Amino acid sequence: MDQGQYLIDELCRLSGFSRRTVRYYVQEGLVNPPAARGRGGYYSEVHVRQLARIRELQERGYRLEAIRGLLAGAENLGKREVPGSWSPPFAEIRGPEAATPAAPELPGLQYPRALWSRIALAPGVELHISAEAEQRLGPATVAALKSLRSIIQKEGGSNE
Amino acid sequence: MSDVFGLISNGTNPVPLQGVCVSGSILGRGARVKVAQRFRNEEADALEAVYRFPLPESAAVCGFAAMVGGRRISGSVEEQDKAFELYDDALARGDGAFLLDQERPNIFTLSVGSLPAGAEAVVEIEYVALLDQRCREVRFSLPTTISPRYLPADTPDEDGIPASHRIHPEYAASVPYGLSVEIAVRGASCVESVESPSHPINITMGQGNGDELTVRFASDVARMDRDFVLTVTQRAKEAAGRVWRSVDERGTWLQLDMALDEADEPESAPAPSSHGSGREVIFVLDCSGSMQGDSISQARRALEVCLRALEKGSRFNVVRFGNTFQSLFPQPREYGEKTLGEALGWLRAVDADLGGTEVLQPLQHVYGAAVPKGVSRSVLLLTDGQVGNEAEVVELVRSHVAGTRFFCVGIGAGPNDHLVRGLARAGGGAAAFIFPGERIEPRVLSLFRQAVSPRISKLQIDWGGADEQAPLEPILLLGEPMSAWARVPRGAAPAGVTVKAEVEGKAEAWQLPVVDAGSGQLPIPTLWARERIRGLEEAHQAGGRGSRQARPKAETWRQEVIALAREFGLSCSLTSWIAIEEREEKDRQTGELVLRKVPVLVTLGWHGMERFGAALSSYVGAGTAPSAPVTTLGLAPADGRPVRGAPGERSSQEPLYLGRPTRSASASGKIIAGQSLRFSAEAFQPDAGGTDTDLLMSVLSLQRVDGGFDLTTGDLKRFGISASAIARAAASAPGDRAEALRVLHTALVLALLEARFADARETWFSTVKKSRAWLKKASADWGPVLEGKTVARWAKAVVVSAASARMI
Repeated sequence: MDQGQYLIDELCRLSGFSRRTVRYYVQEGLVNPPAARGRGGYYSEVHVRQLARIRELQERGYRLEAIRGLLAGAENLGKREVPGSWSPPFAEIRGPEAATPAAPELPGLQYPRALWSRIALAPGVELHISAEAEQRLGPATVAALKSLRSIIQKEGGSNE
Repeated sequence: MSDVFGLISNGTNPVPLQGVCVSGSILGRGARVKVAQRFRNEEADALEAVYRFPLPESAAVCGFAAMVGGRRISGSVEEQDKAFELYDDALARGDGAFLLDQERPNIFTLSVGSLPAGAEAVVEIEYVALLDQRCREVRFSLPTTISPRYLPADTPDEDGIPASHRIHPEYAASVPYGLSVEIAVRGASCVESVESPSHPINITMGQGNGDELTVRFASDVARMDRDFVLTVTQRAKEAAGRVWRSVDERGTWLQLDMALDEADEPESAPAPSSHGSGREVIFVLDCSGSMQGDSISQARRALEVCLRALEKGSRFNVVRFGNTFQSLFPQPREYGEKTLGEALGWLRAVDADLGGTEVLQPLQHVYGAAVPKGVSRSVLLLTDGQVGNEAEVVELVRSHVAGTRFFCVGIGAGPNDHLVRGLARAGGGAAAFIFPGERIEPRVLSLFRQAVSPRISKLQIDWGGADEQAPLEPILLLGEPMSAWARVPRGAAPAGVTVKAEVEGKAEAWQLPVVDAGSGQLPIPTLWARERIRGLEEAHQAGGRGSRQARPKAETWRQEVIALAREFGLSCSLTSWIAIEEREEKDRQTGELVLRKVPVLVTLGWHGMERFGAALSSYVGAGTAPSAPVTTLGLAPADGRPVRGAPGERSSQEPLYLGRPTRSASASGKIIAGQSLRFSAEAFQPDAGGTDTDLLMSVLSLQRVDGGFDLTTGDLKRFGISASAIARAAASAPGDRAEALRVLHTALVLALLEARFADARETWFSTVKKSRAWLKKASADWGPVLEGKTVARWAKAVVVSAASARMI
């Protein structure tokens, strides 16, 4: 275990995050708490690396909710490092029709950043479209694919 | 419903917030308010309490202090990150600290650091604001909770923190704290009535200096799940235009107030053809769940009256939205018999059944249609505004302001006033708010009137010297008070200020006198600085959203805003309030702090989750006896105990008339005379059927496309007019019989409006503009025919005699 050596100020300087943001990440469990109890604790290379990883993922366009999923996923897969070309684990697939959630997001109910759309067409039938494919196919094709649901329903399949 | 409650904290942790007490005073349009939040740690460990709460968007937060251990610690304004560091350092040292961050102009986060076991602290937040005014009515509004707001899935994080975490508090089904208020209305002798559509209130006369009255909740403590709204109606309209001056060591400060009245509207109605053809009006209606019930039916009726009032030749469309949106026509269509019929049919089937509030997409659709050259477009949006991506929506509206004006009505128990006002500011239009139970139609119609009135452009104010003006582009609209501020050099003493503008291309100018503001009643420097900061913030938002390359420019902007905020002691998007309680060595709390986020209630009626009426048996908190149910009605006896009555009793809606206090203590009376005058206003009970507003709306919704009216025998009977007498009059009138009858009916409606609805003139005047023009044209060659009178005089006589017959 690394010995604590940085005060919060130095950690902020090294990571480029504001103190508010670092405290928030610690509070949210994205970054380990400092070695000593309380606010005056010391931070180590582990903390610097954790923050650097978050920063790197942010620069690649991930939002925090997705990063949370990625970090949790990495942890679940035996503390494996997040590889450069990350293929999304199942946990990252967002919920059905998440692009237009029926209700505003409440704290604690956020979908990770959209990489894949999962559309439940009928019980046991799902359609998965990646964001990249969605762009390539264009909105008309995607809408046509999504309309499969109403076709299935009209044919007697029951959904919801 | 239930899945939302599944996310709400179960309330097992003690809540450190004990109560919120709001005190303040209102004088004219100005309000000065102090919000006191009392915290107490009832746990065994020291804790950090975090409370996210709303304030009005128009508030200039100009004071922050903490009362702890018998000491008062005044706060100061610091750059946001710096303030957090000071707070964090204080906590690390074991001192106490209080931090107030602005997350949105109407959402704030208070952090109370290291509250030791058993300790108490009271935080005081002070603000000043200019209140909304429509005609003689001034509206004070205080939000109490933050509705869960819709954020699109791709909303970027803010400073590495999800936007949702910056704007949303934790929610609970019940909370142990409540709100009490004590608002003094000063200059009471100029006040005609005081009402609250949101809460039962008690009013006490003449405390303190005599010429004021004090408003409190009838139930002492109220549940914090809806705005507190208070409307103060002045006896007389204030002078039309005026500039207030105050001088201090920093300079001479000027505040300009002006409003263009009906009388200023050029009534010389140009030929209808040239009038309508340059206009396009798009109505956008929120059909999310929270609009269910009376809101949607009144909104429908208001839109029907607006649609009927459109000028021939103008273009229009109606869009409704929730999670998705639907457009009446794919593109705006020309107004006429056929399109109006289609629109009315479509509108009747409209219900509040479209789920959440995704307002960006329907507006993108609206703005996606090009405006034909020479056409002035107005968008009128009715919404509760529960979205968190305000900046994006406002930007869309701002980027089209050259061709499109934007008007916005905020509806509900806790609308997002930052969105509603922000949109109106960005779109060069106006905003209005409607609390559940208040009539929707009059406000929508008064905005509609502005939406179809001539556009006033190129507005310039000559302050009589070198000036720093805020806002840079004030918005002048018919019937809407406009305020602007300026700092001029200290020596400058302008006697008058000139406002110049173009009204539909024609140059106009107004001269306003400068008068002394007196002994600091109006905090002009504070209001100037607040407006100046808002201008800089919004210009920055407009110019450089997400553009990191514009660093040098961004830095100047930041420095200017921070310097202003610090100099004038104001919080803003870049600054926070910080107060530090230095403790003696023995009192320092250096251990781990337990974080306690204060849960709040979801706004009443949010997403139709809890309809009005369902939550009327509200009570405040655990351990408190249920407070008086909101079904309390009518008068309070002198001891302040509310009297209960049957819901829907008309007297409960009557305002308190202060003018005749000594003679009105009748059984059904509105007030009790005496030293202590109390009145409980009923909330949430919309007018029982058959009110004046209902009658007015039913008359207005008879208007034909050409502006004429066709009345049935039943309609005439309701007004006390005999149909056979009108038929006889028509027989003696020139021209075709049916046409003559329409002329008479139209003249009768116009006379009736003048005679019976004079108070609501603002509501109907522009909606029958077309009728006046039609009547003039249709009866042009009539001359004095009916009993030797002109049509207008004849109609007036008929209406007057009908009215006097009713009296008997």
